[in-house]
Amino acid sequence: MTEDDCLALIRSGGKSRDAGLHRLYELMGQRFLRFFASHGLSADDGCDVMQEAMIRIVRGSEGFTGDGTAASWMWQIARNCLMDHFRRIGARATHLSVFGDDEWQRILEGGGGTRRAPEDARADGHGSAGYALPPDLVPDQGRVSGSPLAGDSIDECVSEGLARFRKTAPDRAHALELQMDGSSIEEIAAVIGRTPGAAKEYLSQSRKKLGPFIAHCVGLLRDSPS
Amino acid sequence: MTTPQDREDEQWLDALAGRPDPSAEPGLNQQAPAVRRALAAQKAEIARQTPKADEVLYQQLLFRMRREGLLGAPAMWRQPRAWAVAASVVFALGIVIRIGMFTSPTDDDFQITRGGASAIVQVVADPDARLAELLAGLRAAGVQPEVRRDEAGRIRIAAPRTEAVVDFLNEQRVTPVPTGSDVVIILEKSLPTGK
Repeated sequence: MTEDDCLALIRSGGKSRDAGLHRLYELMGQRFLRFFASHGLSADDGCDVMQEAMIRIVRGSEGFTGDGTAASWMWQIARNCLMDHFRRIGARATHLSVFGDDEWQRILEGGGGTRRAPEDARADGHGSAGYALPPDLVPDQGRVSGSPLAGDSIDECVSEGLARFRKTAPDRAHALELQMDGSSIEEIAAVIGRTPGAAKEYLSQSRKKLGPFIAHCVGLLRDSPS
Repeated sequence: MTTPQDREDEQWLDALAGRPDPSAEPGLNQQAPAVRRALAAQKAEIARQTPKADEVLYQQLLFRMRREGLLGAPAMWRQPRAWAVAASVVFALGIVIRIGMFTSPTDDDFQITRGGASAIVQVVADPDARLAELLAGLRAAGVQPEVRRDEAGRIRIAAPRTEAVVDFLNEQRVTPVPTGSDVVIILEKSLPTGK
């Protein structure tokens, strides 16, 4: 049974709705929980947001127009619920609201650990406010030249860089993870809310954006067997 | 048109998915598997911290859905009509109990003629439920019915014969409505059907 079938059952109401909801839960429940966990939500918060997403799906099932797949629509709801959660707890989703492509470009060009946050610049009206990236979120520029810490193995070095990348760009890390899992481009597109063509581009861009976070491991890569 | 950069991205993503291209640049085929291993390790760690979408969590979800009126019929306790019926039942039972405590029904109380002019007998599966319905309706018609119960479990309902009462009983298909100054309805429990 597909996501579209689930929606059809849910729209039918009565016992069919119960059956459709159960199947929907089987199909999407764990995936939503996994998605929220990969974005840093605690177990309790993840469960809460997952339930909220399910409720919105059921409530909105009548209004689903069929433009695009049901899966894409459901993932859109899950992402919206995640953003609402971040707003509710007052934590800005830095990867979505702060790290625009321009900001990424500065990071890639070696802009270092400080930059202006658009919100702060608007707030003071003079463009003078400084904004420091949290130390655990910036690529370690001092190590980009190929000087991993003593004792680092290639796996440790890449894992450490990837962990910082995930904190900065959990959506991109999650997309790369789906690619690593062998998910189809259509599946990845549904999860990230893009067309398959745009999803391919997104993955390529994610690879580039990951680069600075693991660039310092280059020396280890050269030394390691392929 | 595929550019060399596109080709390299494709090779890197394929290698990330565990499908390395032997013709790719060696560095690429070293980096992508390293990222693959790191992603797999992180995935396992996140999975360890991710709650399971199990039956308990599903029941919690169903509870929330019902609370928001999204699943099937709303729970009985959320329906105002259910509260009204429940209150009527409790009230009726209270009356019946009080009557049972202070009266000693005699055989004369239930000497009626089935389908006769003065009373009508209704044979129902659940006399108490039917009693609650009739009491609620009769009270809504502006009268205070008298209820008695005999040892055989029959229930006798007597109420003044007003126009509103007759209309209500007609709606309830209690026909023919008994004549006289009072209407009397006897409720009898139907016998279970054998299989």
